[in-house]
Amino acid sequence: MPSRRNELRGSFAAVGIGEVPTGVYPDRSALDAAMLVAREAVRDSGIPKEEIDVVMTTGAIFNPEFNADMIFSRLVEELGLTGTTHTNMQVMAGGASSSVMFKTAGALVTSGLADHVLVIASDKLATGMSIADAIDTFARYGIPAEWERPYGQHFSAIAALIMQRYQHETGTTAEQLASVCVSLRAWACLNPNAMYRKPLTIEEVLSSKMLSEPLHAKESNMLADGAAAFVVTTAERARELTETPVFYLGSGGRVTHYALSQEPDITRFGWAQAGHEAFAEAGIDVADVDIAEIYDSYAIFNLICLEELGFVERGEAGAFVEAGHTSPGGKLPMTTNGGMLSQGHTAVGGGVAILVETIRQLQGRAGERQVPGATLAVETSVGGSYMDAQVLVLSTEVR
Amino acid sequence: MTATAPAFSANSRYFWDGIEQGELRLPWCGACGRPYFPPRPFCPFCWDDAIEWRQAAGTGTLYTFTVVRANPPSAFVPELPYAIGIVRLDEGVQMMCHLHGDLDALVCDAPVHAGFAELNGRRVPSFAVVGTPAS
Repeated sequence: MPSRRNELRGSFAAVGIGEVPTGVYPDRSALDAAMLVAREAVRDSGIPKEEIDVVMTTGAIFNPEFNADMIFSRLVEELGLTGTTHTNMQVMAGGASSSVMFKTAGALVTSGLADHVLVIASDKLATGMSIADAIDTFARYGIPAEWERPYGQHFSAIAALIMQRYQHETGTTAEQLASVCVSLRAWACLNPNAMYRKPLTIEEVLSSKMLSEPLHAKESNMLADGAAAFVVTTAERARELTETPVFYLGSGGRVTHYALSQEPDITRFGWAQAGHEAFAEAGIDVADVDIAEIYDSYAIFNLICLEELGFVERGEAGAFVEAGHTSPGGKLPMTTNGGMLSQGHTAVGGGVAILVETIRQLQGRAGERQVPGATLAVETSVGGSYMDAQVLVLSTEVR
Repeated sequence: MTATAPAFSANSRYFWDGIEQGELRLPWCGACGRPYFPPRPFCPFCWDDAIEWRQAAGTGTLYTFTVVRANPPSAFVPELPYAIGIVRLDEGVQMMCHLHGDLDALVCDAPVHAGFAELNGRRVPSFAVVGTPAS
């Protein structure tokens, strides 16, 4: 079957974004937060709300009821989009939903099945569930009931198992891993929407509680309430709406396991193939990239991504981050909203927040943390127990 | 306990029945002749229905491991600290397991041998390091 992939480069774009502050917000319901970011994204896009013809939400973790109650339809009604929106849906790919929803929305607008797709994520991990429930929830989803849960597997242990092997193979030090958290916190300090805005040191990270060896508490993501949204349309329409559409240039993806214990290489996953595919479609070289917006639910994943996507050689990412190259002012700004480790982890929304940050940076609207002259970004995301590798190449220029 | 109890199917039951009887069993494809894990209704390689169960040698290497010290799933709080890992069996499959013995001896690529342990009220495969990694 002939591929039509080469027709997609530059054919669709993000044109509007919305986000509420991430953190502990007991009085802000997940639905209210979803509505606030949806309105902000549509207003930001300049599209009359009556022209939003598809509303796409993703899964929330804090309460299965939120999904089962058809939140996608409720949002259409609450936002006053009934009668003009022709399709509502939920697209769920775990933490990879950001990239996957962007691709899906792009497919809808380039095929002509939709004109303007509104994409929304909202979750409430800080105040929508107890800490005990949150720990048990993250010992369930994405972890096979028969083959890993009986051993007490959970997400901290998943990160620890990967760190252990990665450090064994590459010689990366505990200090270098901790420096990822320090770099992300430096970005969060410049982000008014971030949950943690106090500078962090390597010593503080390494003296925090040991959870699952070698993972420390401050190397774990911070569960938060939050929401983010964006709007996708065709490139043609996007150019009518804004001077700075954020165009799709390429994408790559690989699903390499469901159960972590079935992953053939837990120090690499599918990033090299996904990255190669995305960069080839975009027609770019890794050296052209201005910003690396890497999904960071644990520090280890930033290091693996930096290496496998080709920003640095295998085993060199730790020293690269420790030297400050990914921090504000560095040569490869990385996860510039502070990521899930510092802006806060809103489940699927954490990845959507990183994609929204990518759009914001490329549009030159990131305030104090704006990376000067950034026009080309790589955004990554991953779901479950690091089951897949999703890469997007985005730019304000179709070169 | 719903968070941790294995969800049994006809395919997984034979494995867990083996554990209860002190045997580590693996499914092999009766058509393409390859072992696979976890058990499934048909072979993931060639999709053939023929399943042959064989007892595993119980030997392999430790791919990775962690010692859980804090914040485990609630049902596992009484087990703290506990060690879990991923082993690569000599048959060529990987599986998650509990680890027993000297936790300080845990090192990636070390040879391991299968045994069993009681964990959270369930008998599970548990491996121990039995030497140093091949250089």
